[in-house]
Amino acid sequence: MSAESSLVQESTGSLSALPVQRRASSQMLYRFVRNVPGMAGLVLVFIIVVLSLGAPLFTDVDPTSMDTSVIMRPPGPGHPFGTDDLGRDVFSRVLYGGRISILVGLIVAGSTTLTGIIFGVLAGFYTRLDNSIMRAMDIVMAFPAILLALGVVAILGPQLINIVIALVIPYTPRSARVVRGMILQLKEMDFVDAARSLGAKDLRIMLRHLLPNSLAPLMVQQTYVLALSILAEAALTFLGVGVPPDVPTLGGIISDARVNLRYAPWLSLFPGLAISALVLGFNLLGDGLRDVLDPRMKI
Amino acid sequence: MGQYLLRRLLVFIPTLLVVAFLIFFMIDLVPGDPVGLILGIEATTEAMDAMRADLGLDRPFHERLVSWFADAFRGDLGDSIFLREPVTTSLAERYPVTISMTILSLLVALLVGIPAGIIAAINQGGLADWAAMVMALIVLSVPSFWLALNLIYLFGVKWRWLPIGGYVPFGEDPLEFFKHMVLPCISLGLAYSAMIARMTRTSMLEVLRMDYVRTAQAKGLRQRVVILRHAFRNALIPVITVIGLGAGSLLGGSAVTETVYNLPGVGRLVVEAVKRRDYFVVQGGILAITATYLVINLLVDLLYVGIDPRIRYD
Repeated sequence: MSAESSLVQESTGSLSALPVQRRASSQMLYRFVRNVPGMAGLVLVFIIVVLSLGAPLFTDVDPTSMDTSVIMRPPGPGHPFGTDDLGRDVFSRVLYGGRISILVGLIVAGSTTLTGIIFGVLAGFYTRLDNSIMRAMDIVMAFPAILLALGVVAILGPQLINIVIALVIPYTPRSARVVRGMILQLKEMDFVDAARSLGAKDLRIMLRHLLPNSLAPLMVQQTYVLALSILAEAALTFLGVGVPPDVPTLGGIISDARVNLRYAPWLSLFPGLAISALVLGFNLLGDGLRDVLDPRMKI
Repeated sequence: MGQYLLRRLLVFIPTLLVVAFLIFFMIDLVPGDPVGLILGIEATTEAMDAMRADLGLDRPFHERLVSWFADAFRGDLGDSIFLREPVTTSLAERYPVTISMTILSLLVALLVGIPAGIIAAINQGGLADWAAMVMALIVLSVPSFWLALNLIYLFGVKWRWLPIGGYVPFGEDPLEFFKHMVLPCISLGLAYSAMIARMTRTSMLEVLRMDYVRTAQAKGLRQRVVILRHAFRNALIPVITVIGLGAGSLLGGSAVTETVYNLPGVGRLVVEAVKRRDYFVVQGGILAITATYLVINLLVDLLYVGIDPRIRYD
């Protein structure tokens, strides 16, 4: 580096500094840190994840323990979010409940990344498969997401693993579409021809060349999928077809709070704020990533 | 136009058939024995066999498939296991509720979202733009059922301006009908209006950069005329496609909204049927709503072609 710059300095005869050559990834990191929505989202998500996953550090009350002497107390000393109709501490329940939401969101987003990549790469790379795979995706997208999830739960029963399956199915087509779009563009490019002329087989081209370059829009899409799946899981649990009721979940707390809405409106306020903050954080993160990774998409 | 309609129908009909087949196939995907799950662990073999025969589940697959489709075509979707009435009857009672709520929510979403998007685009970078986009993002992040509960508390319990739930048919009392529809449609339509606002803003910004807008301005037309007559209509075209897709989220969201507001609609029926493993009702309900969604998309596509003639020749 210094040898180059001193050579250039000699030839141009000036001492003006050259722009520093940074790697693309650190350039993007630099832009991301300066992106206000993205950083705000990251901070928000970080705070909530720390509070939820580190719940035992912030509260020593057991979320399922009932103390009938303090039923339906509004927020106050000892119970920052109040207590519910069974005397359980809402603050503790919200913290522990956040874990399920985050967990489900991450699993669904991770799984749809995998399924999206598989279908998207196959459809984009092999033109013969493209039509049939995309038709199948269209059929899946013909069902409204929540109804499809309800159908899957009706078939398989209300358990955590089934909720995940129920949410992965409707969200896979979006991810597959994004990957397919990128693959279609990239496979026409020269570097693919170059790789092929060097003897690279299909699989190697897909995994080593096409896929890494498709990850950017996919990551943006997956943060949105993460946000949507948190909302969807909360809705399903609220309806009573989600995670079984013995585990505290944010949607479940809101559902329990519904009965006492008239007398204890604070019971649904805090879990709802928690969900909203988490989803907002991921939405902001997604917007920030989108602005950084493809400024042309910035609205 | 006629040719486009024909081509579009050729996509619509097979899609509907495949969807119907998948819905029919649902019951075969149940791990274990559906009858056993309905009757419980203590059911006797005779009871289970009787129910199986009653529900027609003891016949071979192809026989069930053909008769299901034949019956469905004639409007017979089976009988509800729990409500003791034909599924079609339950659906027919509840369908108007869901459809009217969906249409009104769509109107709310359009009336709020489109102006918001346009104002944001015109004031790009300004306070109105920033405020609208921040509001849109917040609204998109809030769970609709939580929003609904808070709206019920404010408007129904605390201030008592509006009823807290329930449904009054339009024929019975139009004013009460609308009073009962206000909160559900706001809960359902608001998230969607945020999406429409963002989409409209993006589309409007693109259109405002176009040369023909600059020509109109150079001609000396007032800014308001430029926007309304030229920019607005063209900006709306991509928004129309989003309307079709968003109808799906409205129809799906009806399940949640009807549950919170106690509306006797198809969505709530499906949710309760899922909990009770009333399989035929689940099948019928999902079929009805999905078919509605497909029809809405078909209509939106036709509307799209009617507005933008360029599409016809693709």
